[in-house]
Amino acid sequence: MSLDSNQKLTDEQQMLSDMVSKYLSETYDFDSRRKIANGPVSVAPPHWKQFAEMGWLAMPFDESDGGFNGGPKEISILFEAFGKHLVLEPYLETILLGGGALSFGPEDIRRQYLPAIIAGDLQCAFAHHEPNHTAERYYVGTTALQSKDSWQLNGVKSIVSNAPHSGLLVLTARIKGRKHDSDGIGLFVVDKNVRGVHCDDYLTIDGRRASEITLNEVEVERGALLTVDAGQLDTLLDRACFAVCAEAVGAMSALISMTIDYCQQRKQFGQSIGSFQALQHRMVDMYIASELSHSLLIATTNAIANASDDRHRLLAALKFRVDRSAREISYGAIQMHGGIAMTDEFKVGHYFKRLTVISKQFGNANFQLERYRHYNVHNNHS
Amino acid sequence: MNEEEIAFRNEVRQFIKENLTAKLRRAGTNMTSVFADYDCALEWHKILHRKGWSAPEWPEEHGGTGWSPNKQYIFQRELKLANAPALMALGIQMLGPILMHYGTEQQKSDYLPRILSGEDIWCQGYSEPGAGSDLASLSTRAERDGDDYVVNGSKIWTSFAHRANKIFCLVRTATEGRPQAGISFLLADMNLTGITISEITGLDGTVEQCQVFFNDVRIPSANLVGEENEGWGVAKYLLEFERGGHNYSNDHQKLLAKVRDISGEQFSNNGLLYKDDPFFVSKLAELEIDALALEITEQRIKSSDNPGALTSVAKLVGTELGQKITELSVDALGAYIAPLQSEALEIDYAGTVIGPSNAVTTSAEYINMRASTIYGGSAEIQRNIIARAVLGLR
Repeated sequence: MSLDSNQKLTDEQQMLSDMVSKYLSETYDFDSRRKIANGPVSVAPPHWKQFAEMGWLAMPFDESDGGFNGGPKEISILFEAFGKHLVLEPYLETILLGGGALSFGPEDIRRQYLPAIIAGDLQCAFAHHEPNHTAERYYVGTTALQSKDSWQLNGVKSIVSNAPHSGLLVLTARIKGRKHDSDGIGLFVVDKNVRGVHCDDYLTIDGRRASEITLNEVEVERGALLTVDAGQLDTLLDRACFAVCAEAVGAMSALISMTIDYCQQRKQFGQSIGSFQALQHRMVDMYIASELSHSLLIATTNAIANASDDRHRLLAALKFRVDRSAREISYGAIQMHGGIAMTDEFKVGHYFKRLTVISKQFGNANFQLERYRHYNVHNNHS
Repeated sequence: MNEEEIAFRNEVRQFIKENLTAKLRRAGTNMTSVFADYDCALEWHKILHRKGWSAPEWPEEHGGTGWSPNKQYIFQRELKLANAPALMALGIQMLGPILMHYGTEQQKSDYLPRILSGEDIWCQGYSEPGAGSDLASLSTRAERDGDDYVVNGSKIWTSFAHRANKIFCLVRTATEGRPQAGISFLLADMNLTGITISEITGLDGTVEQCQVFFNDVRIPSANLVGEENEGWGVAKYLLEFERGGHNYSNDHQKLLAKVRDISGEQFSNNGLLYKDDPFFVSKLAELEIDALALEITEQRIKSSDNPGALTSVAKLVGTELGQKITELSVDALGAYIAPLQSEALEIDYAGTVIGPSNAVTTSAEYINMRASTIYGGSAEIQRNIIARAVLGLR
């Protein structure tokens, strides 16, 4: 497999990359971020409109929907930068998950919502997890019952990221089948303010906002069903999974640079602690862990861009490797920084918390192992 | 356990049943670090003191119990399993033994009874912004002026300095010779003029650590423990207690019980409860085996007159294993790692909890556990000690 030709950025991609790095380096300072992260819940991260003005929110949408047709490379450029700067803005929830699900809907729905989303005026949350079953991809106990010209939704959704600042919920509800079945899951768009939707809002350890949501006899019109195609649900979740992997790669590289800098500056026993071999070797291992993740990210980006048969297997490998690397790198970064890394004032611990949350999103390590084995067998037989 | 020990265990259980109130139990359950709610810890301290059990490992002449190592072990385990809040440990586990060994008769009679009763709560002024693992490089100065030392400098990672009324600290009284040679050990009241405290918010959003500033603080020379410039030897003696004074295996039993609880509530990606997921239970068994091996190692330490370097082994394995167990907890907790529920950890919290019942403590505990290989002699320092003192590597 040749990677070199695919690693080069197009002029547009290079411009995007430069613009994102420049904007975030100049404006996204850690102290302001920390103030937002610490709450209250009602305060939203402030850069969203600027993201819209710079065109970032339009990136992954089709041109016919007002977007720029961005692919996995553009997503990874954005999310690596988001990871490096610990960005709190809800790109994942609003654009990739909410907007992505709406893109599966009929034209009138897309026209109704996508322009406001792309303009930064409307935010979304993706309500999928249900209590005690957050590790399962297809577990949906929330029901959707069809009557003459409407659907009635009933159920409970857990840890719905960005729901407190969302006008729209995209949620999964079961139209048919049993709770664990991959088939029969509908993706619905629901105005958060309709009767029967109850939200309990809270902060999360990675500085975001989320809700526990109860749906009690929520009535939505027939057109609120965006799709029942299990393949489309997979596409949506896989894209989100890919994005957080890119974010993690960005966060890990930031942690490694910070750790190297710190170890070179910090003096104990009359020398920089970076001169101790035990610490040098640990930093080398962290670097290796980061590079392995980076390699899989590049390969997965290309596989998705080329719609290669191998993309599912690679994505599972990437997410698994990210989970392992993130632990090793977070733990090492904290250990070598010492006590300061355990404080709220210092950046390192916040990367650790964000990486910890990512590792449990869109399939934990065991889920990825099983998926990898599944697709590996599949590929070996084809 | 022999018959006497079984009878003893029953006596402890009975005492716990009668005295550990629901509120105190909650303070123990809600612990996410080595510290419990401060007021509850003090209340429990006083209850134990009335029974004569606040410092069981102390010699009887100073108010200890004279229990065998086995009995002490049983006692600590029963408290832990009943979710008793941890006591503020620095007075009992560290300063007490120091004063018994190095203190003047006056210091012993002034301080030991008040440690025992919980009237004095001590914090420890060791680390400084520029002196962490290299503790001997500390630079807080103490200059003799008449009957006082005048102290200037600052200490960091001083746990509960914002609540404690006393501090013991290492200060520099001489700059000649090896760095270790000019250090002295001083006791001080926290309300002395010139001491100010800055609270440090931890990654879990709570305040346990502080930075303490000394600005021309006058400490009477009668508060010197041991000889001037010989505080390093005092500190080394003390560090051995810090490392060996704690039963990590009791913590592990509690942490493992939590993993089992969560694994009975949360479902794995394959649709099975984690407790029925072969992959998960085999990981749990691996950790249980390590916990068992450590427990036996700790018993060896308890029954040895000279625990020496095995205490470093216990500290190292104890903290690293604690980290691995909480990591497995978080595997089962899954996405419920995310909700920040600090208010649910308050003793009078009456609201609901998001996720499984243990989610609140598990999330914070996993984060806080990363500090355990940093404080009290980092994992790197422990490995250095084992390499030099045990393996003889130079």
